[in-house]
Amino acid sequence: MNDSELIQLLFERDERAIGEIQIKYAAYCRYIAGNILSSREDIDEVLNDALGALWQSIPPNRPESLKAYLGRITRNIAIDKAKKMAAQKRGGNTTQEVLDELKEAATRGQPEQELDAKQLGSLINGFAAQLEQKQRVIFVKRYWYLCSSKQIAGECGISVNSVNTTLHRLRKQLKKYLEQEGYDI
Amino acid sequence: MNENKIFEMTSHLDDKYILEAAGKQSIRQTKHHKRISAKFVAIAAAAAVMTVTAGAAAVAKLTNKKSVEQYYDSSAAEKIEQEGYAVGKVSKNTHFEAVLESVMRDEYRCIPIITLKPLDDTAVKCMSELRYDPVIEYKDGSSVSGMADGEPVNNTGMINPGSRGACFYDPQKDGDSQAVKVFIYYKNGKAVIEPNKQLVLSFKALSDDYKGLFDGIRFELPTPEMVSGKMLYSPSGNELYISKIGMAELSKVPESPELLKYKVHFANGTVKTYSELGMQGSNLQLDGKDKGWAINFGTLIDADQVESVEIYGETYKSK
Repeated sequence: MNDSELIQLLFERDERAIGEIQIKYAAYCRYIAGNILSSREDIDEVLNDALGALWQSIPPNRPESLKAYLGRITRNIAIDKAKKMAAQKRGGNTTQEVLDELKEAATRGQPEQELDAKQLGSLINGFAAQLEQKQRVIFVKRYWYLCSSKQIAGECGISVNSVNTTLHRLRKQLKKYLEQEGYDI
Repeated sequence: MNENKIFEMTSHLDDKYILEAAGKQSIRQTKHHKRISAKFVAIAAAAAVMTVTAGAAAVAKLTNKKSVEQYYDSSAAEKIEQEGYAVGKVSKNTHFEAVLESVMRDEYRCIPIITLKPLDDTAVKCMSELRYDPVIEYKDGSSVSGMADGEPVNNTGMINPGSRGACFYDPQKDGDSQAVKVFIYYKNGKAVIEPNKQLVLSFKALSDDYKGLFDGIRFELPTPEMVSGKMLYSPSGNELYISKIGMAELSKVPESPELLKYKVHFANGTVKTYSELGMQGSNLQLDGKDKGWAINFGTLIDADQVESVEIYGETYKSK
């Protein structure tokens, strides 16, 4: 079934949709959750939670890309779970590693600055649009998919060193971009 | 703006960038991957788990693991479950109960595995005599490019390298049932099957004695994400595609079986040969010419870690 048909089944509250979506996108969701969590049980739990959240949110939402929509839900649930586990000192936290890296891109802007979703979206997509495709893919794999450098290297057919160098440059570039957009003292 | 805000900001990346970076072939776009232009969609926050029927929400397991293990080693059968390729759909009539166990795909093939269980003596006889063929068609009824109008892409018989046709099968006895691995090649002869169009798999009896035996046994094949794969090249410019589930040499056919005794070299220094990975294969006869040979593995490999493949007396590597 294509995505439009699957979304229509969800609107009709037909439970076949969940089974079909799972067959189509389980591997993709596992890929996302697997970058954030390590145990199979936790990954399975995230997948089940993501499918449940999808069922609850469509309708009323009608996303243009079911894959991206489900990917976002999966990512959010996996990150929340990882944070809880880190708080309970139950294992490594990929998100903490990423946060440590992103300190390089942080600017000195007012900490109380509140930005809404639209402003955040405009900023990050403005930054992403100006990148070459290869750079953007590496950036998104690291900071959205939370892939390790080794994984990115394997998937993109380049060396780990090249990935790390690219990410370092991109963080510097992001910092400069944010400063130019006024997010600095 | 601190690092927490920057991280939060990344969650607002456009769908098109998320999809662009998905999977293992995102740097080089293949012709099967369309760019998706999408507006940003605000999503609801993650909700608590909702109770759905156990069969729908639970991760699918193989109904008959032994069927899959007729063709793959046990570690591969585990991975098929873990990585979401298990299906578990049932189709039944008064003569047979069929279970679609799993479906895996790469750029060149789609491989469903079915368990066929006979429910009466006539079905037992038909199955033991192999007097049936799998048949595939597009769900929307449109014709497959390269085939005559309305002609389904059908099986030409048991696995027989050199046969024509895009759909082969390899049945294996499994107790009272029969495991059936079907090989659907997206490009075979002059036929081109579009990977993004849904296929319907059914069966037809090959003699009047068994006419109607498979009526109603029908599966709309799911279209799971293709497994990871990549293209390798020989010094003479020949192309070889290798994926988690098999290979396809796209330029020629082997002049002798000896040339198919391949070796796969991995980044960690290990080497696996045809005797470990399998040699079951088929002439693809691409564009109706004598070129193209597909090999299907009996296990699952990590194609991303493949450095080179020795086959046909040449070494194929990434560019």
